[in-house]
Amino acid sequence: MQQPMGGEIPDKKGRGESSDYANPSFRTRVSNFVERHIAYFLIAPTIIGIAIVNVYPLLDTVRLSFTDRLLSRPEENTRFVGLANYSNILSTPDVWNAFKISLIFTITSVGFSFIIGLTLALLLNQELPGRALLRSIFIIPWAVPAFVASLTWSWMFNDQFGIISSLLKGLGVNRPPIWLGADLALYSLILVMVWKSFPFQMVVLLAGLQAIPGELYEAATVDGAVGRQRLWYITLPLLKPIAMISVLLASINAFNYFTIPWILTRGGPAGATNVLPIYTYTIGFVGGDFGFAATMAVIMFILILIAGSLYLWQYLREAEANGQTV
Amino acid sequence: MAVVTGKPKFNRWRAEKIFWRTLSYFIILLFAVIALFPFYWMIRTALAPAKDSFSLRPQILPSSITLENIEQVITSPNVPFLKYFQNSVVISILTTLLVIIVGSWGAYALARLNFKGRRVFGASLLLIQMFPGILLIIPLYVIMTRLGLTNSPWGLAIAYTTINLPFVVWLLRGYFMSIPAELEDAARIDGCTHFGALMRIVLPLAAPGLAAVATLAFVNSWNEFLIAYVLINDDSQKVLSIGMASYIDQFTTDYSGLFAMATLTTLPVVIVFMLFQRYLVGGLTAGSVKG
Repeated sequence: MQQPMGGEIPDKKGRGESSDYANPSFRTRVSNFVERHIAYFLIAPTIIGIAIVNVYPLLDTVRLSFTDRLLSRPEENTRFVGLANYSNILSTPDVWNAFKISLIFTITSVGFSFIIGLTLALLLNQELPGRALLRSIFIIPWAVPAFVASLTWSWMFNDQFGIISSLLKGLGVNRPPIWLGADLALYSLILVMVWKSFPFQMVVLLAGLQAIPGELYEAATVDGAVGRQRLWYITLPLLKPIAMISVLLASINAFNYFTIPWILTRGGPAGATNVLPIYTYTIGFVGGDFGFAATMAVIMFILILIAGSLYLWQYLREAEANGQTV
Repeated sequence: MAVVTGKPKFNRWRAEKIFWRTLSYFIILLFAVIALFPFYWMIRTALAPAKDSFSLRPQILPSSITLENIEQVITSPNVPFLKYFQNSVVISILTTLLVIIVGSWGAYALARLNFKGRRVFGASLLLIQMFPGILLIIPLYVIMTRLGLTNSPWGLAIAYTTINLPFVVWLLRGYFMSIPAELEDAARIDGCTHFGALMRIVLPLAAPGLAAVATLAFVNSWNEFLIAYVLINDDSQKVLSIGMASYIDQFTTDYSGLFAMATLTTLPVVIVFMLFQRYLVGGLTAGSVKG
């Protein structure tokens, strides 16, 4: 494309001209090189970001998990302690408690938000007047920042000045429960988490519903299928792949969720809401035991990795099986 | 035949339809009230006079409406609200731009180009989705300090961009795959480079997908709390999320002021989300077809 500039044009600048001639060829060489390796140039920024923000922290956390690093002690005095942190974890009852609470929190909140999200997605996928407005309303909890949502709910749950207890008193309940007390705190947190996360499920499932080709429904209607049959034999089976992915993402998110439990209860009262992220954060930044906290973080990652891989494996196996039968 | 058996059937069918329609609306309205109430309560606390916040029997409606709390937060000399707001805007826009550029490059490579390590690249993006945020923050603080990126908008923008990338790259990959490759092939025959084809042909066609991705990135970075909490401690660099945390520390019982600040923090992002909501659904639809 680039034409040599020497030749017929009168030579005005002597050497400048010949370097002008050399430049395009150098540039061509560079652009050829870039073009040949374009994929690596395109993924390079992603890789650099991931190296700084994910890979280095992961490796460093693994390293810390084999040491007795304390927040209060200089790095030089930190010793390698082998697997001591790992064996400590197995014998710490608080860890098992945190694990149990995390499981309850994750499974219950994802379960409810999935059911609500699916119900609303199915309802809002119909031709209803005001559908666009309703969809916008339902995604508000997703858009509200988690710390604002937590503060607002904590304010609504307040024993003295809270609106929920006030409304219950208005309905004749003399002694409304203490929402963030030891008995109910975990369930209150789950309620907030469901409120915050059902819109994600709704939007993803709505997208999945809209990707189902309309011809399938027309064909089924011609064959005499009624609404319920269309739901069971067309909609739900075709929705399953995207539903499984959305449940996976929501579960990882809930298992790692920090802000809601941190602002509402900080793990209390008496450890009733001490989910793993809160427990780990408290050990590391409040207790100052970085080595132990790093070990907790590594174990959380391994647990998610195992559960996530099994789940994805199952998902791919089913997808393959479906691909063969269809 | 249709006349004989059809008529009673038609009536039953109609009644059933009305029943389901009513039930649908009832369920939708019930959930709409639950979804909206906390949002309403935040705004209601912000706009009610301060004495309402100390009522032992708070009512759904405020005793009167005032802009006093809002004004107080904006003009308060102790909390530089406008500075926090400006920082949040800068960092969220910076993150959104970076996510669009870097994310679309990565997604294009994954969707269209054959290169060594493609599968590893794709799989590690999925793996990274599973990282606990808590795992990242201690070493992230250490490395950002070494790079001189603590207390800097760039540090937060880099962290936020990277956190958004795995999901964004997968979403856009699906979106790009739904665009016919013939268009790029034609452009390439005419002498266009891969990069030129991406910028001039693929990106304009993927605009709705990019809008979805941009919305997510903007909302996620505006709302992030933990990383900002760890990486920023200089008051002039604080964003809204951690600015509110310091407001709570200073004025523990000023609920009216706190929720005035919460309202001002939340409204911009809710408006953005509502405006772009249809791109979000549309972008996910196209992205999921070949996801």
